Amino acid sequence: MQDPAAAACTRISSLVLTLTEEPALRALTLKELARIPGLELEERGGPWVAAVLDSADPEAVIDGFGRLPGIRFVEVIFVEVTEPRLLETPNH
Amino acid sequence: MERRLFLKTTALAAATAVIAQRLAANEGGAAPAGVPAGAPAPSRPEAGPDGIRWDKAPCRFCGTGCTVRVGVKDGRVVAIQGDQLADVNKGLLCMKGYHVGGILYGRDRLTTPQLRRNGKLEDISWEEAIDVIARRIMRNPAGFGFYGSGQWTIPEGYAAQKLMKAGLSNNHIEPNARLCMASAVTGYLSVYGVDEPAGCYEDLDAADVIILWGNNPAEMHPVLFSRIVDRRTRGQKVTIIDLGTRRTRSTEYADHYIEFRPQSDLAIANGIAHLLLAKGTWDRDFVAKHCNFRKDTAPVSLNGQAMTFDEYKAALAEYTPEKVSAISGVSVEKLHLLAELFGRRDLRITSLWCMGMNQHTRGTAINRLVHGVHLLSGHWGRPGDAPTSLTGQPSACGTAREVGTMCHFLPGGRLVAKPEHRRDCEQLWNLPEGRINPKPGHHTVELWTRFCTPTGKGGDIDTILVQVTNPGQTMPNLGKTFNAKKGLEDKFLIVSDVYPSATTALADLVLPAALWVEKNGVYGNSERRTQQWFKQVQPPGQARNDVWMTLAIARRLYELGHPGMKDRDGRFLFSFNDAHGHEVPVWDWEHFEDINTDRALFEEYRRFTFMKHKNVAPYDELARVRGLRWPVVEQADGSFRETPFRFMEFSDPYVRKGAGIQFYHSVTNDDRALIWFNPYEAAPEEPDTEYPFWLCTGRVIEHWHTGTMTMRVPQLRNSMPNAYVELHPEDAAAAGIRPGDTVVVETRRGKLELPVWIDGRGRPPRGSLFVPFFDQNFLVNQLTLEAHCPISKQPDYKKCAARISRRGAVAQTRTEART
Repeated sequence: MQDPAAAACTRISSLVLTLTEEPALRALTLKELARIPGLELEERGGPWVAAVLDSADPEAVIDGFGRLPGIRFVEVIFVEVTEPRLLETPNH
Repeated sequence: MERRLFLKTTALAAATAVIAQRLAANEGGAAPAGVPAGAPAPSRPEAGPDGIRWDKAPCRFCGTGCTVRVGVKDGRVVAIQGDQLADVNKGLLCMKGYHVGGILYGRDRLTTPQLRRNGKLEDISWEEAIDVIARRIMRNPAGFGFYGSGQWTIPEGYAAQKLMKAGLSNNHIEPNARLCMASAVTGYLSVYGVDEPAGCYEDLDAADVIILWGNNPAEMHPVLFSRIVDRRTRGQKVTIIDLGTRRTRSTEYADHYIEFRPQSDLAIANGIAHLLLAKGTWDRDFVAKHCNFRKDTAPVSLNGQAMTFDEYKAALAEYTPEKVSAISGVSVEKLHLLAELFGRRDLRITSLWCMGMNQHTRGTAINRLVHGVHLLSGHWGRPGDAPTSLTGQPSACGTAREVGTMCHFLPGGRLVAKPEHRRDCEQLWNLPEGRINPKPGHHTVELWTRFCTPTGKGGDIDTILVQVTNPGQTMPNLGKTFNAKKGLEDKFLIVSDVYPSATTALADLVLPAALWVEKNGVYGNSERRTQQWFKQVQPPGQARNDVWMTLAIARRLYELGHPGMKDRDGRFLFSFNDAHGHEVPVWDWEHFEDINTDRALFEEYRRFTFMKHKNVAPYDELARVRGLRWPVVEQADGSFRETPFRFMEFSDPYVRKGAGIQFYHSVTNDDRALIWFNPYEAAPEEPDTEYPFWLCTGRVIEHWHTGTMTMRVPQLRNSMPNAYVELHPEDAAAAGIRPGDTVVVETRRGKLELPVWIDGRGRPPRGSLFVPFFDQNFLVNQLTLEAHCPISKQPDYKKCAARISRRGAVAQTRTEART
């Protein structure tokens, strides 16, 4: 599914992640998140973590969050659409 | 600062600000609050150190009305951000919203007017295009139809409305909103005497129970749904009840999923009312003070006839839990659960609905019944106690409903059929008496059916101008209501759009349109909030504003001598002056922006809004803020106060002091709302031995309506590249169908090959199919039924009978489907 042109540039997204408040699982989740390239985290209190993602395919990374049981909710609050790539007519 | 570093810093600041707001709310024990709606927005923004200039705009997609911050650099939209100053979304956006900037930049944007000659579309000039349209209208003004949408901005819809009703004396104007919320309109009108919800989004912050009536806000209104889910994250208890005919993403968050047989929602609502009366848990005081009872006439009508409480009770007597359970498939226990919740005054209950209740052959009736359950139980009039319809388009409320771009409405909630209403509008428009045609025009299904019928056989509509919508994909039973236009030589279809579509494929004249922040605009969202934005980038090529097209057509008609293009004093209908009192030829593209034409049209329209207490704020005030909810009333100090909760004394300035609640547009002229009795009736086409499945159509989170815009955004298109058919795994196994197989879905109106998706996004129950309508390559509306509610005229896209077969196999019968 990956659009080949998409790999050519990265885009910045701003996220709010709602994590579990169960301490062990939360710590494990933060450790897993820290391994994701292009993802910067900032804990601000409560169950929430502010995150900035710089990735060529942010949707895939965000989809991948669903595999981490310690993440309860993901909100995307900012997205960069720099260098909007042109697209063919969709199969019309 | 290096640009990417700056963007990252901004992105992190945006996320941390959202969290800080929530932490503050937790400490204060209150729901998170955005900056008050009246707080000033920055004046027209300057570019920052990175060269990006940020400005506000409402999102282009659904009716939630999120405000986005649009980042522009070098004449292009380069970034999108949720606006933290916006009360609606408090900085959040959904996946479509954060990609909204991408809709401007598909490679196949329409950029030149094109006229079909010898079967091929050829480039022509704007001057020729406008002349062709005007001469076509002059041939037969009564045979002209104007078809727009809930994506028309308020000035666009108002200009179209004025051209048709004040200029051409022609009421054949409709918005596609007829297909999405007309039943909500007739519901509000017949219960309260005036359209649109009394409540607002703050109800979601205050409700203890949210009931989703055939509604999937997790996908269709995700920012509003996240507002509810967020309360749980902050430790608040909110019970979500999903009353549906198919498991969806919303079901995953529900405390109770109550699955009912399609069409039986009327029986369920009557069953709740029956139990409230039987248990004595209805709110006697509220009903005694604020309600009357009503039933249908034969034939049915908007306002019906009076009935007594005893007659109402007797009519409900047959809706016992056992009978309702037999009709709906809902257990007796679940029916008691619903009635018990409504019977508790210590809870606050908000009902939400959208297409599931509106796209219904009994759409007006089910809308009335849900309002009725709230009124009967007294769950009305406190924040969190509200029956609220959500809209699917960004200005279905603002333009279709408030401007009244329907075949029977005039602006300001007036009706073409009422002489005093026509007179009011003729006076405001300075028209000669009798200019407005008293006969309602054709509603949407009728308009298109007549356009697709040969002129000699009753097809009295020969020309339609379409703006900002795609009927070639959205009309029900497309073979009859759209595609039958093929081969009818005397029919002429004009389409203004931004991309090629199923509609432009049959167009005789295509007009390239400016989109979203390529023009000024004003929208009105689901909670009566009017939202303004300014043009931020240039449209591509020769694309131009829809409102300009309407003004240019009107001017050409004036030049050709159409008498309706002059007012009572002989002035052109769309005559606007500059600050020095000189007329500005806004119909000439070179001068269109010499004044803010949107502002001029909006201020002219605004006078109508005072007619039914729907006062919108002045344009300049709206430019300053993130929208205001009407009625907006000027205060003694010159400021403007919005009204979050209508008809409630603590919020609505039009409620009489001491009244508490006052339905001041009451149908019965006694300040009371109406509790209706409407019986359950079977759907017009139900599964049978030949077509054993229910077919339901709908939307997906990635795409907005017909996908014309979102399919051009790579991220959205890649996330959901094509339509599919969902069916229950046991139905699939019984038919030997596996995920990914291609099957033929067939109804009495047509057939369509679709890939199968099992247990993907949603799960229909056994005997049901679901197909989304966003994909132009799989036009599911070739299969749907054009049957519609007799009052709202809104078609039912949620229910018809279908069968499936593997490609090349014999169609599946009921026996096979059930084994």
